[in-house]
Amino acid sequence: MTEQGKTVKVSRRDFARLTGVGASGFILGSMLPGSMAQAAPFSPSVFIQIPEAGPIRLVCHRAEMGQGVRTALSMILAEELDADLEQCEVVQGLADPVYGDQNTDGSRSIIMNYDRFRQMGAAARTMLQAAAAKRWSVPASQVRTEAGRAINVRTGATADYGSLALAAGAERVPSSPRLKSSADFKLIGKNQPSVDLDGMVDGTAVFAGDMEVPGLAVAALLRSPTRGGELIGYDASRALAVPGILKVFTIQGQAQPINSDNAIAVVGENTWAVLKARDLIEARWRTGREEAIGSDTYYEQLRATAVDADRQTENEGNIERNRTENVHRSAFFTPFDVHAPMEPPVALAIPDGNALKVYAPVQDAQRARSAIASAAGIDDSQVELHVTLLGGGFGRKSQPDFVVEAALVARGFGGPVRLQWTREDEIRHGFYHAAAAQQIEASLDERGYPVTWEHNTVFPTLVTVYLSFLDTPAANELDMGASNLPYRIPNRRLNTARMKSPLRVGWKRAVCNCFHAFAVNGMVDELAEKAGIDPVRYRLDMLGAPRSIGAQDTGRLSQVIREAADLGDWQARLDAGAHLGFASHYSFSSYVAMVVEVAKGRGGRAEVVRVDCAVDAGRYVNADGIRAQMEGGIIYGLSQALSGRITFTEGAVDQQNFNDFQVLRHNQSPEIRVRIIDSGGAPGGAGEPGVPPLIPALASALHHLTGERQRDLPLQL
Amino acid sequence: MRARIRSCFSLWGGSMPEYRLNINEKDVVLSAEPDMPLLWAIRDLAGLKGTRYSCGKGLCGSCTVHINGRAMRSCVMPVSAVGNSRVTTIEGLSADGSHPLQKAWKKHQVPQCGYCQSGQIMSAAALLEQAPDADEATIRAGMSGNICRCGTYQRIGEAIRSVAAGEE
Repeated sequence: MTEQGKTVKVSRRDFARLTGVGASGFILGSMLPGSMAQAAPFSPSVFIQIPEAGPIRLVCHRAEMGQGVRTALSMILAEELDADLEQCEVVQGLADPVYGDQNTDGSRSIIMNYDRFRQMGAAARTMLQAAAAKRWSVPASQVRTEAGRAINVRTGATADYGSLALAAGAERVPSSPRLKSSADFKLIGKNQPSVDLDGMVDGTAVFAGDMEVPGLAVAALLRSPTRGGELIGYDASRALAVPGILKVFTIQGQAQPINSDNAIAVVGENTWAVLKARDLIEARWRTGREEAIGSDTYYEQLRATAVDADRQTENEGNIERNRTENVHRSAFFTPFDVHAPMEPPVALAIPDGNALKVYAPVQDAQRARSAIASAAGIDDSQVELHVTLLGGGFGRKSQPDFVVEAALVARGFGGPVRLQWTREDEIRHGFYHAAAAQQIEASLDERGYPVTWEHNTVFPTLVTVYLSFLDTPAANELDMGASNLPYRIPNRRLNTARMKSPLRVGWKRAVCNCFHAFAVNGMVDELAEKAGIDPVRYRLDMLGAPRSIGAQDTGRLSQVIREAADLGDWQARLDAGAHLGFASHYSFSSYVAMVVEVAKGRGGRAEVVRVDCAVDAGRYVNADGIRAQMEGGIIYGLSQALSGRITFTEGAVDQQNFNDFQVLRHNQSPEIRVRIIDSGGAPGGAGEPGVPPLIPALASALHHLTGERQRDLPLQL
Repeated sequence: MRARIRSCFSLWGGSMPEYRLNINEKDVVLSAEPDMPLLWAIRDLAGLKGTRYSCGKGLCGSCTVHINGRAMRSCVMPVSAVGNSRVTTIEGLSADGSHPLQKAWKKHQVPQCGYCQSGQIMSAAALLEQAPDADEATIRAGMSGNICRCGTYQRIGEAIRSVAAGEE
């Protein structure tokens, strides 16, 4: 499906809505948030500003955490605006509802903004074109635009956009801006280097911890070792004796949806003084009975609950009536895991009277702003939240706890503070990827294909972030790879059960897709083996003719399966004796399939040698960005698959740092090949979909090598 | 050039030992506790922010700097142990991001979030000083002390190999 010269009808009201500007007008400097206060003469939306001189300013309202959103969104605007990215400056938007949704989560930035950003860029271009036509007294059809300027096609005269800005501001907002034909794209679908590349290579990129303001103090928190622990008492005398320590005081943990811990704040002149002093505080905490549990016990409870899960959420056909004699049942287990972005949580809070100015690496700007406001007892409008570059997010920085902590510490200290989390803080006080126990029972027909499929999945629901009393998985969590099973199986049932968590849980890259893809693909692999059918063939057979399951098009899934098998020379390499595994998964509106190769390495341990990945993310913006996200998703998935395990003793997390919480390193990284499928389908996500299929494809490859099935993460090499 | 840098509060500055460090070919005098890791002296006292904190225990390589040309984890090196050694941070690797590795990093579009990349580049630069024509195995082993959670290892390897092969 292409969009040849597609024209989209946009009413003035729609335009206002889609640009995020109120219906009362479209050049309202007063409506532009903080940093944008000096509105350019031509600001056809809050996302585009064209000054008379200097670069065109494109606003990125979503958080950059390495997924390349500042580049990709700018590419869309610049494409339809007919500007070169080199002529543009990408400005990070403040937390402000004027932009619409800023929650950078769920791989949705392109999905949500592809169409509206094209329309905004096209509308602005049309207005610049009209202004040029008036200047030259020619019909607009005699004006073309290119590289940030208008060109009179008859005379060859040119006018750059800056010189047209004032006049364009007086033009009518077009009711139906004409969008480019995809054949004319100069940016969309091409390879575009990151707009932030230079600073990331010469060290000048500014992360929150790199910022300085006059009088800035540094703070660290001593938190309850267990969730929700109460402080009984503490002695800070030795801490206060450390040179450079300015103040020690307590801050209150905040309830849902902030979910921060009670803590003792140590504020000082420099980071080292604060970290040293924190270690010298003697504190006594009281832990609730429910939280004071060990992971051995908890994980056993979770496994047992999965076996007996009896809350039916999906039901198709009739399992009892149609179950065959040939039954196969397997149980899968995935422990808690933690995000470990290279930049631990950090935030700068600057009190200004009652108001607060905050600089922080947050994925969900508006939620963080409201959280700060509610904890500080002020209105949202009194919080100016600047979203900095994120040194990795992976879902951890969707949670506003650390930003609220910074605000409360700055308030308590009475001056600007940088709250610095250590790696230990990050690993021990996370919002963990939920542990999950699953069981799948299938019964098979005479050819070995499933007639019945009963999937039990149990995990503590992540909705507890908002509503801590909830104890049953939500429909949208089950829809991440369990209830939206793509295979044609006439009798299906999905069961779950109640399960609480002693640890905070939260979203982690690809969320529930990780464990559901692991169990479903693992089961499919076992069934294919039992049937003596090649697992690629077996998947395609079970998918059958294309159909829609919600937004999922199983034809596109079949296609990436064929493409991954082709890219990875599946049959030829198997025939040549390679140890390969295969998996496929639909998530975040994208389709990904992978071939993973393992081999016996030195010392008899297996090594992951190569990964071939086919991805269909629909109409994509930055081709290299998609490749980078698949490469990154694969490495992130390898870390989870091979070492992603959090354990705890009496409610306190055992792991501390990268010594006892291992992540994948360079010398363990495989060769990765990515093939992007040009399906022309609706835009899909890229940040997360690369993770889920990696884990089961690796498990399958290890089985091929060793002959043993591993159904628990982490996998043993 | 000699600069005197002290924390903005200067309440305790007078009572603390002073260290004269040579950072990026400039002499800098810092007042610091002897056990303050070089990382925090560089960031908090010298104000050079390109060297980044991530683990604080010498486990991840984000804070890598050169001490007399050799890659060191600045987060576990006390400022009192630096002595007369030459300290080079990412800011001192090249004046304008033009070190062959920095050019290769851009050409191969290595960074995603970018946070670990100062350390990656400093480790790679020291590695190539030791082994200018490092092969793939040497690079994989030599770079395994630097963690990247975004997963840019393949591109890091390609970028280093391109420099080792004289392509930059």
